[in-house]
Amino acid sequence: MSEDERGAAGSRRAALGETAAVVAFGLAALWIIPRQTTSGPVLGLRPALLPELCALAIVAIALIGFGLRLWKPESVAPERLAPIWPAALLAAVAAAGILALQFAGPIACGLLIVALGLAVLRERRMRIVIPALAGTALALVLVFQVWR
Amino acid sequence: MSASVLGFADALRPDVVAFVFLGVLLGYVVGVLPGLNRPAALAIAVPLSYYMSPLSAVAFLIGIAKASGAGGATTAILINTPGEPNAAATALDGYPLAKAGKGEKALKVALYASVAGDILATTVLIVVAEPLAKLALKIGPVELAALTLLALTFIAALSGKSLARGLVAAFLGILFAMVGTDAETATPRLTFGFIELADGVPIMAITVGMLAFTEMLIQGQEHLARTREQTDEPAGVAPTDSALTLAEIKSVTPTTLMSSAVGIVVGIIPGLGPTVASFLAYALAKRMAKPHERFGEGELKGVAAAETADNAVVPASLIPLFALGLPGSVSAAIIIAAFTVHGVTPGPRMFEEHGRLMYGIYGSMIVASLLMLVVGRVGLSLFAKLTRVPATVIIPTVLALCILGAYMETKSVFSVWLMFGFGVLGWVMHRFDYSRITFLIGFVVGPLFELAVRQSIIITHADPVRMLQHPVALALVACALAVAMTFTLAPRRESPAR
Repeated sequence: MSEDERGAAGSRRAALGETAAVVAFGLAALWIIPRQTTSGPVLGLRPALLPELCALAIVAIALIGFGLRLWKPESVAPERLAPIWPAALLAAVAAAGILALQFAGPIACGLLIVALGLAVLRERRMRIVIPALAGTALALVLVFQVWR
Repeated sequence: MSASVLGFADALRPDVVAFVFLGVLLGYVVGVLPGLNRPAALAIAVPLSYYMSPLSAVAFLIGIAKASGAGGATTAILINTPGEPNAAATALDGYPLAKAGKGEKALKVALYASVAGDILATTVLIVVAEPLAKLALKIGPVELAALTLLALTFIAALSGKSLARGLVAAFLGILFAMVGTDAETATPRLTFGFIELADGVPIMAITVGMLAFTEMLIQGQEHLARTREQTDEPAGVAPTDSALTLAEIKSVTPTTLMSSAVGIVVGIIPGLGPTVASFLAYALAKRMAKPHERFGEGELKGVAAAETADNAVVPASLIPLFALGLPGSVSAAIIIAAFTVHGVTPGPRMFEEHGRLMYGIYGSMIVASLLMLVVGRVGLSLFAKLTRVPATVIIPTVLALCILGAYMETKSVFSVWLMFGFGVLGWVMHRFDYSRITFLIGFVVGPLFELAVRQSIIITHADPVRMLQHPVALALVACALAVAMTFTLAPRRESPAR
């Protein structure tokens, strides 16, 4: 199999996976929308109609897009090949911050995110870490204690 | 007294001027700091504007939007690192100028060109928006629904590599806009029993999540993927040749005027945005260059062209927003969020219902342009130093700001988790090239679109044959189909417009 053929096969596989996910989302939305919408006497538009049309449009466009990509294969974007773990790590830092907000308040949340964020991003220079933490603490105390 | 006099007087109130100044200052800082961009800064700033008067809030945001474009030139010129794609064209000639010891001169040209483009576009906005809004009031709901479809198709086609993905993002945005209480039957729709969703998904959760939070995830991902700093050697502002001569000003003036026109036209068309404007203006200036002008090797006209067009886009993109209620750019969509937070519905009726506010905004835009000049000129060297703030400090700080900003609006952790969810969704969309901008604009125009469709169904009695009585709407739908066909059949673009 030549390099081009391998690339095209990879592109088709990626397109199939992506389309399957989007179509599944659209179909799930079509199933959920009537169950999450109360109907009543209407003059113009019943409440579920436009959301259902949007979900249908998503399914239809995803399928058309898949057809077009089979016809004209596209190269896989570099963003899709980037490792997921750095973003997952930062999202985990943010989630920890939100939990801190919920149970310990905004000052703890802000400090935790900045401290964990600096650690996750491998910032080891004390001349940066110490002023960053001190500045954050000062700003948070001013906003949430002094000026609130 | 007329609304215009009162509005312009409001714009000169000390508190309003102070907020514009703060916005301009913040905009410059954001523009200069690597990793932060205009939409992210605007998204973070909307919760801050919650406590301001409507005029101060919009003026503050406009100050940020205007100055961040001008500030972005600093990193592009001095370290060859455009903070946003729209500043990339500035770096083409700016960085060679800085390396040749003309960094300060290039920064001055960028500043003056930015202010000129901004003032010219603001003037066009003031002259054109109100008459257009009056015309727009004559547009019926059938035509408005068709116009919204056309605008969304345009934006979907231009904001990513694939029209299909753009349209999926737009419909997803409209779908999320449907969450809340149905306007006609007053019954809950897609709220999943959460009382917090009765008024719909808070726009702040979406703007902060999908623009600022997602951006920080992407920046963090890129930072960790890099093994070492890959920025070019800072060229500095060593004043070897810093003074701008009269001859140089004269030579860049025609380029500035031409690039303003490019920026204004591009700004009015929904979806094109500042990147297209700056590269188009640069290409036009290069094409019209004289034989001795060396574009790409340090030509002042190149810096002027890119910066003028970039900054002309922001005021021009407000024309469709003020006249029709349709945001042509992500900045305009975020400004809609600010209007909504303050109980103002954007659209052609704004001039009738909030005339004084509108003229106040115009006045504030002029004040912002003048402050941009002062702040940019006084802080030239200081802003250059800000380029050294490391991304390792910016990313966690902005993450904290996103979470605390979402919390401050409602004092509810629910909206913070919602923001987090949209941030993650934004990252997934970025990874698979589904435009977050199109999603956001779809979300913003969703309620307007639904209302127009609802009224259209009543007017036409849901009979498609009656559509023949609306030839303008049919023509607009035909245009949308033509745009879709053109972009589907055209060769695929390798880089997104924004």
